[in-house]
Amino acid sequence: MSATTEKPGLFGLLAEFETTQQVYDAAHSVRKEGFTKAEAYSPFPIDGLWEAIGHKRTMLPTLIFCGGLLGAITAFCLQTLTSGSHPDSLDPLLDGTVSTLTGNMISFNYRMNIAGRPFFSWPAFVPPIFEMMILFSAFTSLFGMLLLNGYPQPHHPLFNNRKFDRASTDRFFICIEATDPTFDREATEQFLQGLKPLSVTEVPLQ
Amino acid sequence: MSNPAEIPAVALDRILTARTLALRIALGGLVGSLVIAGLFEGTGQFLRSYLASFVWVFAFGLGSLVLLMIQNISGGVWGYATRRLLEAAAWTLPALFVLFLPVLLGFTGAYDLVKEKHLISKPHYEEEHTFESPRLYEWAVPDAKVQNDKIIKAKSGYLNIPFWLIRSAIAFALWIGMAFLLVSLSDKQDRESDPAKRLLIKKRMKAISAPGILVFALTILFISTDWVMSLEPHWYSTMYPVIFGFSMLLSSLALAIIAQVKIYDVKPFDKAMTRNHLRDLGSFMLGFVVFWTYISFSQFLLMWSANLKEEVPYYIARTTGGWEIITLLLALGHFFIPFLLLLFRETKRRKEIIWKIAAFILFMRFIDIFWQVGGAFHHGHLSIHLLDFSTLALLGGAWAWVYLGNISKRPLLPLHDEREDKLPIYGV
Repeated sequence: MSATTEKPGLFGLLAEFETTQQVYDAAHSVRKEGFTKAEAYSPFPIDGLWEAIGHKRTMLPTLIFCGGLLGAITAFCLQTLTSGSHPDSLDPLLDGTVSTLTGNMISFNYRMNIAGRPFFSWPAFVPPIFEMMILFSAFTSLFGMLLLNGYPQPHHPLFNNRKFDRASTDRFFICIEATDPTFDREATEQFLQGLKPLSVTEVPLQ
Repeated sequence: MSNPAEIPAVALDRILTARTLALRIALGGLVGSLVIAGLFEGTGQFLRSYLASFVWVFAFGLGSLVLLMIQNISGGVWGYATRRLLEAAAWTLPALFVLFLPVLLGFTGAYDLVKEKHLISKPHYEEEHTFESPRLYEWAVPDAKVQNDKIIKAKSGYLNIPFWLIRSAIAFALWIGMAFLLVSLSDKQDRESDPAKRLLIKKRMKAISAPGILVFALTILFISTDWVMSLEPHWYSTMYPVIFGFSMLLSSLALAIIAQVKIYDVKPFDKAMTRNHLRDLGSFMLGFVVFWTYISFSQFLLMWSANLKEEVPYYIARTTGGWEIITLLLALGHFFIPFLLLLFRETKRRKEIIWKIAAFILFMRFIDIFWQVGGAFHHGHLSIHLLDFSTLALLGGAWAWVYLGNISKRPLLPLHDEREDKLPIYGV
């Protein structure tokens, strides 16, 4: 196995490229070669690079959808349970279960007569439902993004390589990480050299 | 690409086949409408059905003109392949004017006696019930009972036949004029070889489009009031013109998506229709669907909350006697279903899926207009008539015939559009 040839404390190998086209083509080759723990870095977003390196779609949209749904359900329940119909009216059907379950924990008695409208006035409930849906999905997208990205993370091993400083100005990088199952110190370096980068350097863990 | 100015034979064949079909549908609708109206129903029901169908087709013409103006101002790759379709649809406005003329028959005659089985007043058994229904516009009926109505009398300074005709005529003149200018400028741009002059043409298109959107907003305020809102002269809604106007953009966008998937699926034009480009159009459609829901629900919520006797009958009439099914269908089909479908990225990116969603939205657009117009005549009693289908066939077919004819006459993509080079290189 390749694990034995690994130097201790190696984060990965970093290849440096000069143009978007080069890094885009290199990303394609990296994916074709079967590397899964590889990442491309550029100073600005490049259309398609993300798919080229073989990233799967993030689960964030699904999370945001669930967050929004949760917000809508919360707002609906909040309004219906406080000002909607009284649960005691259900109790004849449910044999007193509702009163037993809720006890004195939640008061259902904030029923307000507003211009004679029904207590369960769903049209009036819609704006708060909508607002809560937006709020919950906005929170989910912000905090979900931070968590899925692994933030907060004050330091990253890539910063140990001085060449990487230019990733935020004028260079494009591809880093194949040592934790990749097919990573091999020599073979991977040779493969990266074959992509004609400006340089291939090690990224130490410490 | 052999000659970009030529439509490939496969695409041209498709357009012309569809055009023949449209003509047959229109003729079938015409014969059907004349037979049903002439033998059984009379002009009243014909006009009511005709108005609903007309409002539905009219949306394609004016909505496309406005989308085209938005596109001229904003730019962006999404408009490159849709531009010719929008121009073709905008240039149907003269034909739409001709199709509009029968609506004027709504001012003739007085009341029609309508016989229907009425269910609201006596819910437990059906009974043949005869009641008076205006041909189209109740306020125009020269009957003392109507003209002495307090509200109709107070509105008569605005709601009278000469002023109504003048407003419609001015609006059509403005729309047709703007459509003519934009389409002919676009033709000029195709033929112009000097880039500096092309830039000048582009500037002139912008100069027409920017105030054009303002003209649209103002004219639609009057037109929606005149054509549809005044069917129920006691009712008023400041939100209705917005619903009427923005639904047009949704209709036009859905139609442009269908036409694009069906016609541009031919080499070399399929490269202008990338999956990401379709996703943009799909997201745009999602936005309009949400906006339709927002304005339609706002109108309902405000009227429900205020509970005023001039406003609330509009909704009572549309939530009783069978209409509640249509209302629920609108909530489901015009919002929940398309909204949930369009949330997914892949449904927007796949041409074989997105056009079906667009077609479904067009169907729901008709249901929405039918709910607005039909509901005005059959309060609390759902009435779906054969004439609703035959006039829809007549107007839909006739309009599609003109539209497809317009498409077949010009190159499928703008010849000198600076966006040509900006198509995404790495598009997936």
